Amino acid sequence: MSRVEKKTIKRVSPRERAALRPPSNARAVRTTKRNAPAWGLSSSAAYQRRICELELELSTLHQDLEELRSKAVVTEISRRHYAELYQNAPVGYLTMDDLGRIIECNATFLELAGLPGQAGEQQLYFGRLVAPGYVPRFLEHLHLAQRSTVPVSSELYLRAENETVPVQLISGSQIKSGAAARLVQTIVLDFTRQASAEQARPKTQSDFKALVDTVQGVVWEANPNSLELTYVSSRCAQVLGYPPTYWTKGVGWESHVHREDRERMLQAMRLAAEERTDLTMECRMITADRRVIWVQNSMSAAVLGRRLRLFGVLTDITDRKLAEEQLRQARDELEQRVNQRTSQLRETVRDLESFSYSLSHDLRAPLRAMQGYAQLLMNRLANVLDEPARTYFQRLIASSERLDHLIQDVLKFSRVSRGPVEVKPLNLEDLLVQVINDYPVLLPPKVRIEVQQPLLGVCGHEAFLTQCLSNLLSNAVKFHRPGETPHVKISTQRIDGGNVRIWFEDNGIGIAPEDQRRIFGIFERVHSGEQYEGTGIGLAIVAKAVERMGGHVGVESTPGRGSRFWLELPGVKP
Amino acid sequence: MSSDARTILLVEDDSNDVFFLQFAFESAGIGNPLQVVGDGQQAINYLAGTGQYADRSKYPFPVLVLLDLKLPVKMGLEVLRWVQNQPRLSNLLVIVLTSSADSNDVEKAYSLGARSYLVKPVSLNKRVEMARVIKNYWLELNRFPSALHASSNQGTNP
Repeated sequence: MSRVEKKTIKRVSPRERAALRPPSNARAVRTTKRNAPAWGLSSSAAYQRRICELELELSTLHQDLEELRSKAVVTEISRRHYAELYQNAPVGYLTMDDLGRIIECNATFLELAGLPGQAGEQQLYFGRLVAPGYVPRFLEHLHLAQRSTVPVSSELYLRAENETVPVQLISGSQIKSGAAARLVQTIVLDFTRQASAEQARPKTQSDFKALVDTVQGVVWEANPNSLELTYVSSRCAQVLGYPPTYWTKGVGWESHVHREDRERMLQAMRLAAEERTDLTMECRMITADRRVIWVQNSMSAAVLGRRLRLFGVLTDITDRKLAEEQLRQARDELEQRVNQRTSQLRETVRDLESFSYSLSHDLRAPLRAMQGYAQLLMNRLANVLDEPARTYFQRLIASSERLDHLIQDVLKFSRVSRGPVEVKPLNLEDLLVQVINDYPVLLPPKVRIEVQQPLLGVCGHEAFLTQCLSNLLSNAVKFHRPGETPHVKISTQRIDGGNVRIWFEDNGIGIAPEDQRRIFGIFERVHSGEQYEGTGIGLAIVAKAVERMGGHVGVESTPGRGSRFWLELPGVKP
Repeated sequence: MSSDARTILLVEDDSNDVFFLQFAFESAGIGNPLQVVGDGQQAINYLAGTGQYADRSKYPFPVLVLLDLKLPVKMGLEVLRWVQNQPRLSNLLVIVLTSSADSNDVEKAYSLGARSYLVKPVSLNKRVEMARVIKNYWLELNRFPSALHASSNQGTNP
């Protein structure tokens, strides 16, 4: 190191030396002084004057010297600064002569050459540091560098202690003042790090390739601008029937995409590249054996190492597509069948509606006529008829009346069984008042109806609920015990879940446990017509109407003591 | 009030019902002349005074129409709709007398201008009772608008 330093000083010094050199007149003075005795004694006055002159000159010289010294300090500081930079620069730096003898070099180079701290006085030839086999290249480099006016670059290996070090030499030359030979100044770049990265690359690449080939699909990379494929994994041989190399030769891969999907595929790739985004699309491709397969192409564009790259994975989804297609067909078929059935059902409903309309008109008209004529006959023949004949007429009339009720109830039942049900909050108390006023049998003193106020509101269909109330109340009145005034108590109760239960408690004949379920079925009667007249449809209408409004019905009863009917409907939120 | 002006038009296709109504009217003591037509189109023709009904001396303009809904050719509701569209008949009193208690029919009839909606009673006695109510209310208590009988011979095509 010290040697280098010395050399460095030597190299940097000419200016300094020039600065330190006494001015030429000073030298002349000194010469004069030395020779003074020879001619200076000739005149003492002249001598004295001469001494004064010399003292003056000396003091000037002292001043100059001080000035120069302070300049030297500054120079020394910047010299050290540059020396340090030179020594520790991240590149090797050296000067050699025409034979390759190193005249000076920095510490970085010594380290690079495996000579740290070595600095002896011995001659160091660059050629000796070059790995065997590379010496001719070095000599050629040196030769060229001496003659070229532009820097010359060569790559070779240095022979360090146990290994060879790849380096790049960049050399230029200058004529050393006064010397005939040119000196070569060289920068030595260490390639080690770069080289190791390059040596490692093939291994990583092969690992990566093996990894990519295990992916269940074709991994590809394309030029994000031209959309030409630059890489295709070997899985493509299985999926599409062409080897990977086929695709990267610029065959125009898009011709293997189904004509109808081609533009969509290109658009997707362009979009992915433009938006730097992930994108998945499905399309059809044609294989080497002319089969059409469905593929899913998941692509992704990203900037990696300052470069925009577009990759993707192509997966064969033909089986899935087939299954989807089958599913779709099955669904379409089902839909078609449902539509058919629905229109059939609609037709049936229409038929039913016209049927019930004709029931209420056409069937009842002859019935009314029969009843009317029977009555008329009975009135006309009142004087002629004996008691049995009058009974027959009465039975005829009662039967036709019963048939009419039956028809009307069946109509009501069919009306509550179909059609839309719009549910809204209802005021139960108002509805009850209306029902009681509409039915004379429900008015006192024939019956005592007790309402436990306040009644909670319920959600229901007004006409349906009115029908339920009138049916339940008339039942309660109808099935009373002989000789007792019917008494009905109406109350409401909030049930868990927001429902409201409406209770109808009567003091009637009650219902046997085995009959309690039956009574809500259509045409179910648990009493003979002789005792209690009825069609057996009233409670079926109630059950159906409540069911249509989203509620339930039920009964609790003790035969001989009375029944407690209830119907449960969604309550009105308080 | 001339006898012409007291005519009641019954639109009814069922001969039994016609018979019972006539019987009930008689029993109730309704003396108004009763004209009967058997389908909706004839009712329209009668009211318009076209064809055979052009002669108002034979077929006077009615003071009241009793209209069944279920009728051949043209249904009762169609007759109501036609009447509603005749500005000259805006004061005509039409009472629906039908066997249908369907709430849909009731609502439609009123919205098309029916003045009352009666369901045909089943028993003979109730028919007579109804005839009495009609007599008491519509024919005795009720005051008719005077413009009713103004339109007579100017036929309007249906």
